[in-house]
Amino acid sequence: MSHAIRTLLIANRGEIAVRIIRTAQRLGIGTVLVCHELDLGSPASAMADEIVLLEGRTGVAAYLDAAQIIAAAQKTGADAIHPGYGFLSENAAFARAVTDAGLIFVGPTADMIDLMGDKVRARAFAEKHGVPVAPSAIEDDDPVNFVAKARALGAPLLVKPSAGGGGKGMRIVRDLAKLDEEITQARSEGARYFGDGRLYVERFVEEPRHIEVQVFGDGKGNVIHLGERECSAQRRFQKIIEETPSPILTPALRERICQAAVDLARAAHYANAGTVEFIYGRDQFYFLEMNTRLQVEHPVTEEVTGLDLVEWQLRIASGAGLPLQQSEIRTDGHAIELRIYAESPSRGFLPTTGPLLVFDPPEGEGIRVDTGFGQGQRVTSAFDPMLAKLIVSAPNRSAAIERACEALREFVILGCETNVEFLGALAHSAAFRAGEVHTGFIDAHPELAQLPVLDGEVLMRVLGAASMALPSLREEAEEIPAMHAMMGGWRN
Amino acid sequence: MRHGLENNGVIQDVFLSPVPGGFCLHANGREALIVLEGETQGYLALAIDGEDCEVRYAIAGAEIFLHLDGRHFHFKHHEPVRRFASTETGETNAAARAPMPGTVVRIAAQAGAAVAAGDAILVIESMKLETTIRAWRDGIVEAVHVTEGATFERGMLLVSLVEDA
Repeated sequence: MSHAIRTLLIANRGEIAVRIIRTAQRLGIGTVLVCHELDLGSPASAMADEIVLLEGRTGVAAYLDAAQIIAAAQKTGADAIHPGYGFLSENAAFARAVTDAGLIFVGPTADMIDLMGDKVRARAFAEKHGVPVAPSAIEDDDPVNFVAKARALGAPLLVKPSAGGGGKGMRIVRDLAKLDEEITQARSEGARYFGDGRLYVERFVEEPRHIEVQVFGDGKGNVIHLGERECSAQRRFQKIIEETPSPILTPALRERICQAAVDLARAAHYANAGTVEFIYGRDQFYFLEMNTRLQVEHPVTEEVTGLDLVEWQLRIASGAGLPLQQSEIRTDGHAIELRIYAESPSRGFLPTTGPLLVFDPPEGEGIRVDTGFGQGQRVTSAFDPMLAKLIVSAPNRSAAIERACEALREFVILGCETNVEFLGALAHSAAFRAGEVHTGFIDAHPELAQLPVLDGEVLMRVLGAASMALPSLREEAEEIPAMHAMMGGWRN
Repeated sequence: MRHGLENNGVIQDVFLSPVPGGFCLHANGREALIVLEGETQGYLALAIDGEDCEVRYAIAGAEIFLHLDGRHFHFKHHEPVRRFASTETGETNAAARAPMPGTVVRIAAQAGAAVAAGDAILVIESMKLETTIRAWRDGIVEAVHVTEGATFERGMLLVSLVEDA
């Protein structure tokens, strides 16, 4: 049963809205963009066939307003809604409301979003279907024996609030003698941050690597994978460099981890695009969670497979089934994504704001830039500070890293501080080139985020450039009485 | 006149002087020869001490943003007069102090004169260069603390302004 999508509403903004509109237009699908007034004039708003203005006390509130977005789809005759990532993309109530309104939700079913959104249920589901999970003790399951069970897992342990997120209240316990004390403190932090002191303890993987697998399902038990991505370069629990293939996996391990992801999605009768995330370390991998949407870092998969993942999402959503079988998936070369953020790496990666006086991304072979910003726009604190994704591809990893460093050097952004130089330093670091970056690496190496001291020849070049660029400095030099110039001339 | 370029809390003294075929940058106790090879809006092609240097730049008020040699840089530009304006009386920018030793060439506005920002107040000669000290805001010249032909040391009070009542 197939319902070709004629008009697609994009319930998102920025680069992912641009990304979705581009594919829709290539497929001849009409586009409606919901847009808060702060985003009028954005590249996405200029590309969409139609715009519906969203009211909202804040920009973020507008893009979270399910009722307004569904009403916009009905008013414009859109027959499907693509939620992008973030905002309402993993909101089961929204997915349900979209379907109830007779529209196509481009994503999995609401029940699937519910299942995978509940960390404890998702973990139990994975375990039940033979997907490895980290050895753990869950307080809810057995409050009386919780601490004894946790201790029996053996150090190192990770103590987490059950209701937690974003790393708050998380503690690593390496010395079991301190377990009671750490549990007491984690409980009090959990109660303070989340109003819920229940805990969850699992074996901590030292120097963990974040590996995830892109899967697609048709909702009838047919599932294929498009390989893995490694996203271990993280700051403040947020990915900043992602790549495929992972430099750490052997072919045998890659096969196992991709198969585990497919098994999980197949057991769930998963529909549309999903990503199964794993923690990997010391030859072991454990299920972390499943993201029921398109990921920010999907372009690296597109670059090595030559496929358009948004097109796949739309085809599956319209009931056309999986476009290819597993045996038809080929990957070629290496791709790396580097996320350009408006932030100050030397000041703890704090977000920065400012006008994009010049915004000039690099171009060339093996270089792709996905962005929702254009020159002249202003970076504000209203939305996420990601300015662009630079995606490079090359026949092998070392060539891709070279290309990334070169492209970063050519990325010109004037008016707002960014992490471009930091990404260059990280990509160029011996650890990254050796494929040894783990999720704690950036926090353990704050020196990478320090700006190089400006002195010597470099300082003279920069001061020379600034002096020549500033009209008053050059005019003053040009106004200097002729005598000095003549004296200079006489000496020749 | 020495301008200030501030980066990361450090202010560098800079000025340009003309030399045949280009400019001489005086900064950080050193000199560098700059040849302008081409320019368009927001773009400079320079040779600095013989090394090519392609520069992208943007200016917003006193902020200057630059990209060269594959890196971004950012400075705050301190104009000479504003830079040496004193705050010792408690009033911001109440007075201008000498940025370097020199001689008073001419006094253009006497005590009591109403001036608008940018009006010439006095002309000084320092390091063989004549520079006009201009009103850094609207106001009344409270006093000119030097006389024509007088010499002064760095930091000496040159002129003070009061706000127009």
